[in-house]
Amino acid sequence: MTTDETPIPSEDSPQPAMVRADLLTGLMLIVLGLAIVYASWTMDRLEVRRIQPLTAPGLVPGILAAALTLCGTILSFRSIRTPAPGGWRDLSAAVTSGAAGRALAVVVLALIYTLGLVGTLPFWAATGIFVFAFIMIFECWLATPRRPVMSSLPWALGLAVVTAIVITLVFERAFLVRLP
Amino acid sequence: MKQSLRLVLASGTALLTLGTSMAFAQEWKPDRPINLIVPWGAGGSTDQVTRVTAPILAEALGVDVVVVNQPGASGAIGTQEVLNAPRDGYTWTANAIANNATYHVSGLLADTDIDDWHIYLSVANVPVVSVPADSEFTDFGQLLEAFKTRGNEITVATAGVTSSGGTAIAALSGAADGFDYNMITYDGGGPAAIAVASGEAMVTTQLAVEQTELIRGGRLKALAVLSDQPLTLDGVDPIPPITNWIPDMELAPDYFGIFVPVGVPDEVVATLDKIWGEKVTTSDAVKTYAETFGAVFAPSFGAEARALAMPVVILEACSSLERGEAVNDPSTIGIDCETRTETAQ
Amino acid sequence: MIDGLLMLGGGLAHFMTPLSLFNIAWATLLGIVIGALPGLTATMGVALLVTLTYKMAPDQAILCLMCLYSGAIYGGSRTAILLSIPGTPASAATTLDGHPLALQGKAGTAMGLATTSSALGTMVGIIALALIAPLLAEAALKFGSYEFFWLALFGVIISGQLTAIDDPLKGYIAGILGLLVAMVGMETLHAYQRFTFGIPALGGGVDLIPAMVGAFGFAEILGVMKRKAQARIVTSGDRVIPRFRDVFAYKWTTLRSGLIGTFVGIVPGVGEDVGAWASYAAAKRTSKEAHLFGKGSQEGLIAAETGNSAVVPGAMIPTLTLALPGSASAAVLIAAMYIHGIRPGPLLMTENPEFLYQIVAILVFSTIAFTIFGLFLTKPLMTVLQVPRERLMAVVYVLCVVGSFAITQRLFDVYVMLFFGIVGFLLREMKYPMAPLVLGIILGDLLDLNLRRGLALTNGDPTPFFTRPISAVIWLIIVLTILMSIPPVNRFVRDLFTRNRGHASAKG
Repeated sequence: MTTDETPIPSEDSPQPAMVRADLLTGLMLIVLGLAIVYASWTMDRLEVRRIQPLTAPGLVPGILAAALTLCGTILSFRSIRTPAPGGWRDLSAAVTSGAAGRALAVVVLALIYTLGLVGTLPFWAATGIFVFAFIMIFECWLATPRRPVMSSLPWALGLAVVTAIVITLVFERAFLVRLP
Repeated sequence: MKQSLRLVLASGTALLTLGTSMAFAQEWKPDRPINLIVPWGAGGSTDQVTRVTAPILAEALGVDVVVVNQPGASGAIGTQEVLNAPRDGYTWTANAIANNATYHVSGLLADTDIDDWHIYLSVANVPVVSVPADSEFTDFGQLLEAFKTRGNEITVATAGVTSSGGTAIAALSGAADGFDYNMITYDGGGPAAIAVASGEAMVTTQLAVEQTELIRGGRLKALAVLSDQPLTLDGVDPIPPITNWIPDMELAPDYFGIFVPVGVPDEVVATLDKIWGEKVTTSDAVKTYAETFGAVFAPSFGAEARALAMPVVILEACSSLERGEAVNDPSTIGIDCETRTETAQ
Repeated sequence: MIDGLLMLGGGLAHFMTPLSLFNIAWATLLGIVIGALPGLTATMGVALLVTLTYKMAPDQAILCLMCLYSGAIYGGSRTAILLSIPGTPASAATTLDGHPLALQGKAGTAMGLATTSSALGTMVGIIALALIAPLLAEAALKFGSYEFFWLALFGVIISGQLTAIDDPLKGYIAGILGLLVAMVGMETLHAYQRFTFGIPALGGGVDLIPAMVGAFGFAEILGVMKRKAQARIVTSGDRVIPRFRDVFAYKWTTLRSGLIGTFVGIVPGVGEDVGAWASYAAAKRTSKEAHLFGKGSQEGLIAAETGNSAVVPGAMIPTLTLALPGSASAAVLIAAMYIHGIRPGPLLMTENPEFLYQIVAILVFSTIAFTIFGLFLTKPLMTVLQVPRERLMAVVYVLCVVGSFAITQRLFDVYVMLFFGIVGFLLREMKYPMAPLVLGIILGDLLDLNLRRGLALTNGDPTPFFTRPISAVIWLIIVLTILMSIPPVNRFVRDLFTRNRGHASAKG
């Protein structure tokens, strides 16, 4: 996780937080890789159907998962051997930073819209509510400096209505997609 | 099927249906586009015939009939979507009827059989046994001999065990003392035919429609058609019927069409019956398409369609049982493989 | 030859009617719009239009479909440059350099270059189609399972190399993850369901489109929104119509990318996306400005856009001469031709030779149309960059949802988009490139099926993988590529090369 001010790290000195994040990812990849290797090994080899043994469905996933495990191991080792003073602290700071909070807010809004609203409400209504909420939250609450509610409200409302109507019409009428 | 049907079977190779549904049921006037889900990729054999038929229905109904491709899992994904959709008559599917009827046997979909669908058949496709133009085999007799002696060395390109080609080679093997073969699966009937044309595989048993242009272009040599009649494609010699070599071969043409899930309002079925009987049965577009690509123009619907479809359903269900691939026994969809008949109904 | 030119002239003249020109205009414009909307692909657009053009005369129907096809492949670059979200999979490679250029205030230049490159790429392909189509079609038949396996492996190796600037290891990890994603669902060879965990919807596997819209689109939204303040993009003083010398400076890149794209088009089963990646990778390997690739290199953008557009006419070569679709959209085009009573295939050149030249003429017209539209639409499109991100991203997310839903009309695909968006965002934050992930999803099936199909064909004997002529060439290239990526070997070869050249010049 990078901080807001330096989105691109310098290339020769890896950031301590990234080094530690690599260790975590590396370990996760090893676990994932081994799990897939096991699943591929125990996958049905369709002996009943007398197929050529080398064409068993588990062959390629097994090889790929082994490669993934190898890459995960290299990543972990590289991370352990790279000095990363304060790496864990930086990492936890990045995870709890305002940036992560804003990203989380987008995820939560997207989940509410996609899993909750779409399918229960008509598509245009769900979309209108989402666009309105998204703009209001990010302009008047999570922004620095915050915009006054009254100046954002017309924009948010207008855009919500226009988006809802235009997208619904274009996709249902022109592209003949039956929206949820 | 609540309408009484008066069926007149014309003699000859083509079945001509003059079904007149009793026009008591109200006419259905759809008010929005209809989704016609093709559970196979765009451009395949199911997709093609569906795209020829859809505009006829669209014109008769006065709304768009939108063909949506939902490929995956041998058509099971798209079929499941249709079964899940509201039964309001606005979601249909198109497929080979043998697939819809046997998804339960192959274990791809649970608890569904032929009676979950109102059946509207448009064409019947026949498999053709073809080899590369420069193949060592010049007639089917030689190929059959090679199957019996060399068995597993002969590579047969198909679109999968449940595909028309896969069923056809299994049926051939069953009719000729159960010879061995090495089936190679490709991503569809077209690619399977191409693989044989390029010499990668030795034989294909896919549908005629998938091989027509390659046969006409001299890339494939057609040895036999799985039918009791020769198949005529313009520009090449008639393809001899399989019965020349295996007289007692069990034959079942593969019917393709459009299916509407049972449970839709009665007027939907009544209206579709009427359109199928009046417009599709007399459609030059579908007829020309069928004749050009070695298919048989065979429109039918209702009880008649079901009766026509049953042989290929039984064949497909029972051959998957013989190959040991059946997840559920065909008896669970009312088919007795001992006698090759339907038990229930 | 003279015959050919006459028929080409006939083809061009055939479409010089008001009705044809009107159809060219709307179909190309619709194609650009469909291409620019994330999720809506060329294939879907063509499939949709097949139904709508059913009643048209055959030549006009094919005209509309072809124009929509090439318009859509070109249109994808708009969103890729402006929002870093590829409008179609074909323009995924365009995001790598197109968007950085836009961030540097050169969105106009980028879109202008994308337009000219697309046009030039199409032209390279058109020339191949017009001159040597039947000859090239034979090459398509030479590609069997063995060759496809090596091609897919080559793609995987390239994807690692593509991202070598950042961290090759992370590139490979992303690539392997993509390949593993492609393993989910029912495999074709034995109809066996892998890694579906009893979820029926997973039986069909993970679709490329929603995964890509998630990994590029939703992940990009998260990446943009997490920042405290938006970087203001200055767009003044940047010209849209590229200078002739800017285009001419990259003539070799353009020609090479055009040829690669055409070749990829001819090879069945791989389409515009692979064409763009392959020419991008080739450009990067030979470029003098390789260090700029991924940071706003004009050469990279040109390579990607030329490469994907050249696939369109390239794909028509096996489509017309063998009825063997060179890309997914071409498969739908074949169906459309059948419906209209045109029968592409080996006999087309003898039975209906003027049709091939009509297709050539259509491609020429559609290229002219999208060039005109492209250059005129650039200025208004650039206002997108001025919209505050809070407002823009809300709408873009809605488009991501609708786009991933539209293709198969299943909500499951929207959930796939969400999943890949969140996972993709986390991976991007840790500097994993998304390009190999998407390329992995594209190549996974090719790699898996063709390896096992080849082994099934020979009953387990791997020899043909090494001895078939085309296979041998590809695996030798792979071995060389891997060897050259090992620093000592690379240095040795370079030394050898420079010494030889020094020797030669001393002699001369």
